[in-house]
Formats: sequence, C-alpha cells, structure tokens
Amino acid sequence: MPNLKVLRKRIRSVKNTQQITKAMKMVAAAKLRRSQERAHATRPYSERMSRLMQSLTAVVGDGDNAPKLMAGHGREPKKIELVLFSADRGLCGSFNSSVMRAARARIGELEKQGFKVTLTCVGRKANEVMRRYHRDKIRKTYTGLSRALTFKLVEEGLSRELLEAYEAEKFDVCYMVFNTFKSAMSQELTWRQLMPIPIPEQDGGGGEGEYLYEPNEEELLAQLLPRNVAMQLFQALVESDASEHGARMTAMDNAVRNAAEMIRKLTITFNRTRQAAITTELMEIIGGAESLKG
Amino acid sequence: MAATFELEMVTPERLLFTQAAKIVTVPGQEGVFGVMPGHTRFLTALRPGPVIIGEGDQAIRYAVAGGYAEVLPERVTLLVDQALEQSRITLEAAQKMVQTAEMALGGLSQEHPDYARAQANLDYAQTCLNLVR
Repeated sequence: MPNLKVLRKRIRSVKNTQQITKAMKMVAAAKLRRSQERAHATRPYSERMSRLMQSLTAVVGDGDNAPKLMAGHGREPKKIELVLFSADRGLCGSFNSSVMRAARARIGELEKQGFKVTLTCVGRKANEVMRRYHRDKIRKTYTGLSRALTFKLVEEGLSRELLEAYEAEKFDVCYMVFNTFKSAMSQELTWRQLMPIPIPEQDGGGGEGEYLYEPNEEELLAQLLPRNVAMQLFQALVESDASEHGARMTAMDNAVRNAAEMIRKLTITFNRTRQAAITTELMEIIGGAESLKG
Repeated sequence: MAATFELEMVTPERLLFTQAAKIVTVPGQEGVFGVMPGHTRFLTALRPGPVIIGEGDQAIRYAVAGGYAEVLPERVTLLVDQALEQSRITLEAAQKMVQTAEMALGGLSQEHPDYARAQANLDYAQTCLNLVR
C-alpha cells in the first residue's frame, strides 16, 4: 500500500511540472505568432528574387561563362556540405530529432557513395548531437542566431562564411535541411540544394520580351547569386524558427494534458489509500472495543 | 496609357508597400533615373540613396541601402536591403548611424574585402541624414 505522505508529495510535484509546462506553452504561443508573421513576411522578397533570377538566367544561360555559383566547380563533385538547422533549446517534441535523424541517414548514404561530408550546424542542438556521431565533420557551428534574426546578420555571417568556403573549394555541393512551417501542429522536413544554385525552371512562355540591363547581365547575375544564397539561408532560419515555436507549443500542450491525467490517477490512488487507512483504523477500534466487552 | 503604375518596395524582412504611383525616382547604380508609366523593361542594381515617390511637396521619400529594381511598363518592383521612410528617421539616429559607419570604414584600407560594404553602409547612413536635414 503506497504511503500517503509520498503520494501527496508526488501530486504536488506533478502539479508544479504542469504549471511550468503551461507557462512554456504560453510563451511558445506568443513567440510563435511573431515568428509566423515574419515567416510570411519574407516570402514576397524571395518570390520576386527568384523571378529576377529566372529572367537573368534565361539571358545568360548555362554556357561556358556561367558563374561558378551556378555551374559548380566544373568537376565531379566529391565533397558535400550539409547545413543543419536545429533549435538552440530542447523541449520541442520531435523538432530537433527529425532533422538529426534525416541528416544522419543522409550522411550515411553519402559516405557509402564515396563522398566526403562536412557539416555546418545552426543551433546548439545540432552541434550537441553531431558532436557525438560525426565530431570530425563539423566545420562550423552557429548558435543564438534566432534571437536577433535579421537578413544583414545572416548575410554577413553564416552566408558569407559558406560562400567563402565554396569559393575556396572546401566543398562542391551544399545542401541544407530544415523544418518548413506548415501550421502550429505540423512542420515539414525540407531538403534544398543551396550551392551551386539550381538553375530555375523556365516557364516556357518566354514571350515576355527583353530587358535593358544595368550593369550588364553577367555582372548583375554575379551580384544577385550570393544574395540569393543569403536569402535562402535567411528564409530557412525564419521557417525553422517558426516551426520550433510551433513544435514546442504542441509538445507543451501534450505535457500539460499528460500531467492532468497523472494528477487525476494519483488523486484517485491517494483517496483510495486514505479510505483504506481509515477503514483499517476503524476495524481496529471496533475490534478493541469488542474484545473489552469480553 | 494608364496614368499610374504599381510600385512595390520589398526588403528581405517584409513587403513595405504596394501602391499606385505616377512617378518615382530611384538611385540606379549607373545614375539616378525616374520612372513613369509605360517605361521600357529595365533591370538594374541600386546603390544607396533616396527613393522619391511622387513630385513636389507631396513626395514621399525613403532612404534605401542598395538592392535591385525591376521596371516593367505597368509595374516597378524595388528589392532593397534596408529602407527607412523619411518621417521615421530622427536626426540623432541618423547622426549615430553615420558615426558608426564612419568608424567601421575608418579602420579599413581600400583593398580590404569589407571596404565596399562599409562604404555602402556609410552612404546609406548619409542618405538618411540628408533626408532629415
């Protein structure tokens, strides 16, 4: 029979946990709203940017003078860089683990095919996990990016480092994996090729007519490409951030519910135990009285 | 021909506005240019400077920090890195921006890879300051 005192203590501790998870859920909900707005707000820029890229690549094409960022290093790719977007903190359900699982599976596949893999970890969690399994592959780690997330910060930090590493031929192809925000309840794991930039699909219509370019097409494209990389990274970060808060909110909501269920069960056990104790006591008193009567 | 065209200004962080405009003046990389409805198709890089929407006293002014402009006969899209509307800039803030940008530039030689970026930053700060003056 469980001890009453112990039960009371456990009920109290579960109640405390419930309070904490409830608070975390509210915080996540507030943050989610903000990051969700931000995720939506970045879409117009990237849409228009890809429209620009499309019209430029249609002119410059993928001929011999196509920039490296588009055509690649001009040899069989051997070295592959993966950029992993995770959260800095845990307690957000399967948010981090789904990225890590996908990344580890991909690393295994790539290595089997004979590629050399290196990693850039965005978020503390990615670093923590990868340090355990692929310590030697981690090239760079960024933390705290989502706290003050601006395009400029990404362009001058993360994006610039990756571009320089690409330029120095430290890797031939770069992919990134992140959670795309669908709704507060669901995130979608997304893989995307970052470098060389995939040549955008021509929508065939073509008849839009020529532009005047200033400066010339090649130069304009050369300026636009690194910016496109930065924008892709920025968008991945923004999406990942919104997903993180969504995932945390859902996870905490579940935790609150589980705690409530546990409290209910514990309370029943507690009451039953107490009742049993009272009954036993009564029986003893009655028994005692009976025996005195003789 | 329509009397107005659609003008939009977008930063990586958000869509600033979409509105109808009669005329807009934009700091192109190879010179300031004005756009009126029916302009020929034109794609250009921008340098830091003022974007002026409309004319005379009613004109709305923005300071922008480089980017791109896509000009179509019926639509102009400005993709800019940063933008501030004139009325939202304060003198102190602008002065501080110029100061920080000057400090950042001061320590760099012309060959330094960051030089162009720092110079652009300063130009943007200067534009902001000029707008409030």
